[in-house]
Amino acid sequence: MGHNKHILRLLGVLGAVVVLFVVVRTMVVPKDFGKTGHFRFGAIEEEKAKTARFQGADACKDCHAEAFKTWTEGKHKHHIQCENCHGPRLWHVRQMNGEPDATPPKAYWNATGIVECKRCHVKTFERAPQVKSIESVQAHVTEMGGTFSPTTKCTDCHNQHSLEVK
Amino acid sequence: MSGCDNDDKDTSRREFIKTVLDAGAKTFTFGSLICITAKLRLPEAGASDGVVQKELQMPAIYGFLVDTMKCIGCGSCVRADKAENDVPEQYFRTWVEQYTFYENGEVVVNSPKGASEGFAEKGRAFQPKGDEKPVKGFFVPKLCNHCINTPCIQVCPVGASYKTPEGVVLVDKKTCVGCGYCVQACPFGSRYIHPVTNVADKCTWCYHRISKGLKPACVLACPVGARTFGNVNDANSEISKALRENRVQVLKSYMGTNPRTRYIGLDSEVI
Repeated sequence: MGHNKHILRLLGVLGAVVVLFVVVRTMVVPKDFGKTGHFRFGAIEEEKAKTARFQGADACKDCHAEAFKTWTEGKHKHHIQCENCHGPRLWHVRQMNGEPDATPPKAYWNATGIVECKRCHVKTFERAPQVKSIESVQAHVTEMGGTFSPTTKCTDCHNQHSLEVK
Repeated sequence: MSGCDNDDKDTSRREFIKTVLDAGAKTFTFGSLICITAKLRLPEAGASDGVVQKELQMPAIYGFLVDTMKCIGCGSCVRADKAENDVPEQYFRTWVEQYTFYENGEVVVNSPKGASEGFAEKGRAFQPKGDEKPVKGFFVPKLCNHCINTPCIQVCPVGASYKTPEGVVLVDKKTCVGCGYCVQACPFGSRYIHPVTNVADKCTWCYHRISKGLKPACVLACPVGARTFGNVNDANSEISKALRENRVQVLKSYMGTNPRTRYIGLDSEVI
């Protein structure tokens, strides 16, 4: 019997390790882990909880009825949303409400009246032919009989919402 | 060696075969019994009126279709995605690639800033030496393919990458340890380690929007309708119609990941 002592001791240590593993595991692994797969089930709801920032052109028409009407009558309807040039509505509404952290982290839109237009309408070899393209702003202005200067903008001649020539 | 003569060998072999066949027969009988029970059980569950019908209804499975014939490379999708999802600078959840085929057979791919500023005719980062003329070109928007056989979920050691019931592949940011295995496993380069949070990040097909019935930000922003999103299990959805009416392909089909993002008008040069 005396020879079995060290085996018993070893078993004791092994048992303690197993118990410790089980205890730590139950503490560390979230309760909803593995509910419908090898992941934390609650993560789905967390992902859903984020607020949508882009809300579509219809959300803008209550406050900006006139611009909305011009846009609806123009060629950009169904193509360019308000938010493509003006930025996500959510930030805009928050700014209007005077919320402190409402400033967009980085503006990819400034509604400059020329930069946004050029992204689609200056000729690029690979571009599909369905979009009207110009060689350059200077060439287009000259062709149309205008005077080009470095500060010339597309909105100098075109209405920014209906695209009609002023 | 005397115990291993031919007779004994034959006997043991016979006995062995007998045992195996016996076990096989027992397993088969038991298995078929289980099958029969299961079969018997199914109609039982369906007996209460209409309940099972409701449960068996097809759940929403999302799909994404990119029409490269329509894409004009304006980068509206990239800017919208960045604003909607706080994608850090120089990282992309979606981006647009510009494929140009030149006279000498060279194919060049450009994607300046992921096309977030669009593409300009002049000042290309990559083009052939000399005065080669382009003969063919198109744009290919890229995003997470939300594969059915996902290498990225397979390699995740902590169960942070997962698939929702609708087939959308997502990252649990609280569980992710940022080891980057999934970034390497993805054959499409759709994932990156977020420089601020240090966890894996990727296109979610705007899961927070689509679960509320909205379109993903890139689909909303696309001015030419090059991106279609919807429920492929609904025969009347826009994407189901588009998938019926067009011949579609996937990227890198040889990888066997079975992507849910499909493309119209891919050339074999597109990688």
